[in-house]
Amino acid sequence: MSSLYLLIPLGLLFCAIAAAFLVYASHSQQFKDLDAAARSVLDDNE
Amino acid sequence: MNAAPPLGEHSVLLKVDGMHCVNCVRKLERTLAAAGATADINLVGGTAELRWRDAQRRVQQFVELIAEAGFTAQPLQQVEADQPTDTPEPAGSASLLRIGIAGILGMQVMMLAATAYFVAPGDIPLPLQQLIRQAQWWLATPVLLYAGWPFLAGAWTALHMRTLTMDVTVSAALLLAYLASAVATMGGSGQVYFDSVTMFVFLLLLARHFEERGRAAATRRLHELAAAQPRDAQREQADGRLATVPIAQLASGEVVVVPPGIAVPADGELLDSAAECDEALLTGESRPVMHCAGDSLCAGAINVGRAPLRLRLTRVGADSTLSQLTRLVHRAQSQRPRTLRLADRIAGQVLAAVLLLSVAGAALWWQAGPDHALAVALAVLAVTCPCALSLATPTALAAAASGLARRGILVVDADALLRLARVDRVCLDKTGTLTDGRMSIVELVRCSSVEASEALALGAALERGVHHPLALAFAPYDDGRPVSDVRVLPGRGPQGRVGNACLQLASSEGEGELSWLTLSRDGEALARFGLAQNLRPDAASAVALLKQQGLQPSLLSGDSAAAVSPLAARLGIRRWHARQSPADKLERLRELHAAGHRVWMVGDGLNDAPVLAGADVSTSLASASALSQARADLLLLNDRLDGLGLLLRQARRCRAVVVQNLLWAALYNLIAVPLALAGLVTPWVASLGMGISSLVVVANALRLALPPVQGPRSDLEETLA
Repeated sequence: MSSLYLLIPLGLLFCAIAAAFLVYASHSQQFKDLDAAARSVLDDNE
Repeated sequence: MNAAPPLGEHSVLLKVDGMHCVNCVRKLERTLAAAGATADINLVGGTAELRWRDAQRRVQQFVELIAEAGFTAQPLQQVEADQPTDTPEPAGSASLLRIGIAGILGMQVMMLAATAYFVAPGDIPLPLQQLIRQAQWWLATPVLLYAGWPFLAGAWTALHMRTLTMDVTVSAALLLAYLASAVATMGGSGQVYFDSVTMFVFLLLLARHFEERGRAAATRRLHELAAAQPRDAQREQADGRLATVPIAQLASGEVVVVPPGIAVPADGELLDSAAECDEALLTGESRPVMHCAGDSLCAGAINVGRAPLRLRLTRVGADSTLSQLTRLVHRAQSQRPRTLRLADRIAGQVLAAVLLLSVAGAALWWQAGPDHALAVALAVLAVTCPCALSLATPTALAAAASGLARRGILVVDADALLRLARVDRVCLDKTGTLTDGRMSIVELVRCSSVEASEALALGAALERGVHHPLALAFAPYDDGRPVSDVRVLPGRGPQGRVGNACLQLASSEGEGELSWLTLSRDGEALARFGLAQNLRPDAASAVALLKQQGLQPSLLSGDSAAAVSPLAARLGIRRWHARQSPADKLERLRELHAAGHRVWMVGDGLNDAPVLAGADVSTSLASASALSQARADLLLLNDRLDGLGLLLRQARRCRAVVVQNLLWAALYNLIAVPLALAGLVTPWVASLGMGISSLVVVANALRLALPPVQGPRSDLEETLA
């Protein structure tokens, strides 16, 4: 059970990293238009 | 097409973001009323139409006031100008980021909290137990303060405005749970609810995200209409060259060129001999429509031919048909149907009852088991869902209107759909509604040796250039032979010379429904022409369909009995009234109302305007006079009568969905609240139930956004009909 003293802080660290990636993805406009990629398949001028 | 505001009154249509429930609407209404403006607010469409009299007031002042109340507003025309071709994105990046943060951190909190569910209290050493609690606290803090910020900010502004909104109960539950858990963590004893806090925020954000997507889907047709107009146009210069100009710079009388695949920028008259256009957005007609020189084209129609088309503009900018339709739809969506006000009142009362119940529940449990008192109060606050109640009707109405728009039917008054579902009589106008207003020659009686084709050509030569419906019936037989000295004698028809002979075409007496004209040469009768009004090709099937759907049709016409009776017989209409003035038609309507009937009036002419206004529900055709359209609750944009059957079916489906949604909302709350009070629902499960309840209502309503088709009625529709 003593391993939990290490695993819980590690879990918090991974959580923070995941949240940071999410913030980065959001700031780089990756969630701006979620339908654009799907629509581009139907676009014949590409 | 729509009524202008009264003299001295100013109005503006605003796009408002941040409204989530009926109490938000009420808060906004109160804010604006305090500033001297009345507002028609549409929760589903996210719009507010403001009217005020104070000339000193500026739109920007109202926008700032709305911002102070916790919402964001912008004039709708500005929104459309900024994003002319995109359907608005219902959930921005910030909203998705909040959901993501709440999801990731909330998941971790749930994993840590699971230890408390599955391990006996004494099995975990106290320092480890304390570490687990503190880890949950650290994770729950950004979830509450960042992801849950919209609820906290909404609650703060609501309390500041002294109103009660959904955000107040949500924030009360969140803060209560968070603070109690924080105190327990610091003290090292007592229960913690960080898992409930994070799950509540996550599920509520998720539910609102899908709810907003659903609302956007329900009003998508409106934005498609607004986006149909291109931003630029190719204007033909005096030297014949083309210049690309913004559509705001176009003027009536100018000539524009529309390349293939591009939408017509403004209403105009076709200059080319032929053009093929896709008018699906305006009329619901899925096939391209052929036009010839001189035909009117509406803004928004797309040139689907192979060559560019040339157009002389007749109405530009705000005067174009598309702009008028868009304004009409915006106005329709801003008007708050009467049926919604009842649901709003009930939802507001439910919210007040929830707060009282949670306090009462906590007080009762404090006596029986103090450990559970807080959990019960939180569960009651979280599980109750007045959102479902206030969304039940508006989402269904918006989705039904969107579905009808795809079939070329415009809902001007959303409330009319619910009224239409209950009508049992339909009154139809004849000329221009069941007939297309034109005439054709259906009988020819020769009175001399002259050939039929010769008689028709002579009649056509005399009627050349005359625009009366009787004269236009001869146009197809015109072979271009010269005619001179043409004069139209009042009450006797045209007279002129062809060669050396003097010809005359005069009306004459005849039997039956036909109008008769006699062609004579030098006083000797050559032939008699029997003319009849053109029945619309889908008139008979439309009437049959309405009868099949349980309505009793009546025919009201200003024409003579001789003209009305045979037409009624052909259409299978037993009740008909001829020689009806507008006052007579209103009288017939009163008789039907007095007999307890609910009446649907379908008409098109100027003389139909009073009776359209007096009927329970009214429908007009796109070709109708502007006054009739202004009085109508529903418009058939494609002039096709088979739309009447679809309209009735959609109205009945809409009513069925509204009843289902209200029943669901009532049933959910009736079951969930007692369970929460009994302590059988944990707070995070309660928040899951609340989110699902809202989504069920929205998802059920979205079925109506599909274009309606004719088919058998469901059992519920039958019962409600």
